[in-house]
Amino acid sequence: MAGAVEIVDVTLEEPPPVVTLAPAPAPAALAAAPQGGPTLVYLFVPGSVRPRALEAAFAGQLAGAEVTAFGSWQDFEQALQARPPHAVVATRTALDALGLPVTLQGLDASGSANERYVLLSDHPLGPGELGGAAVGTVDLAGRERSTELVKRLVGAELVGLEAAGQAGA
Amino acid sequence: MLQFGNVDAVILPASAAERLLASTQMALVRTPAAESPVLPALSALDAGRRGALEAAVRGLPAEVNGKVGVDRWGAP
Repeated sequence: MAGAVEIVDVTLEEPPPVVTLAPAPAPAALAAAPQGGPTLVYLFVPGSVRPRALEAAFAGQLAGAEVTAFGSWQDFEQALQARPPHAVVATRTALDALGLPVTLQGLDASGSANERYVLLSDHPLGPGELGGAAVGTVDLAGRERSTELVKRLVGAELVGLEAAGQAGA
Repeated sequence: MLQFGNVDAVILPASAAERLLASTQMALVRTPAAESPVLPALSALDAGRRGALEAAVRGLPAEVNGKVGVDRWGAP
């Protein structure tokens, strides 16, 4: 019987489950979940190139996205509250400090996720000298967290920490 | 900061240090840091745009990746 439609009476023994899609809660660092509109991407990678150059480089590749790069931790933190972004590219120190989830990890050529840091000085620094040294850095995640990170990186207690907005030494 | 004698040393990612060394006339000495923190990462906060954002970041050219000290992107 070509073209005939067979009607089958189906009785469900159990009603299908009802799934309620609740909006995901905003991370603590954000005042609210990101809103609609253009995709908003924030960049916070202090110690890299200048924010303006970083912003232009990413904006050229993320079609249709509104990209903003921050050179200061304070400005970055304020913007997260004032206008929550759809995505953030930042140092892990910053993401961890803010409680933001990592969805894609930067890797080096060998596949390692770790980044080498170096101390630059105008004379060789022996282990004994580092204990009392004043070390300058960029503000990686607020002064307190930056100080802790630098102490770990240097492996010594420091007498002073000087933060700069950019990696200008 | 080093130039003005405010500090004894500055600490920064090796990739940024190389750029700095290429652009300064100061004779500076490198000392490796005791620890290696984790490289920058992406935090996609909007589930609906996550796939597109991750694809775009995975596809960033080497020139752009180099600006944040990354060679490529992978699952955390």
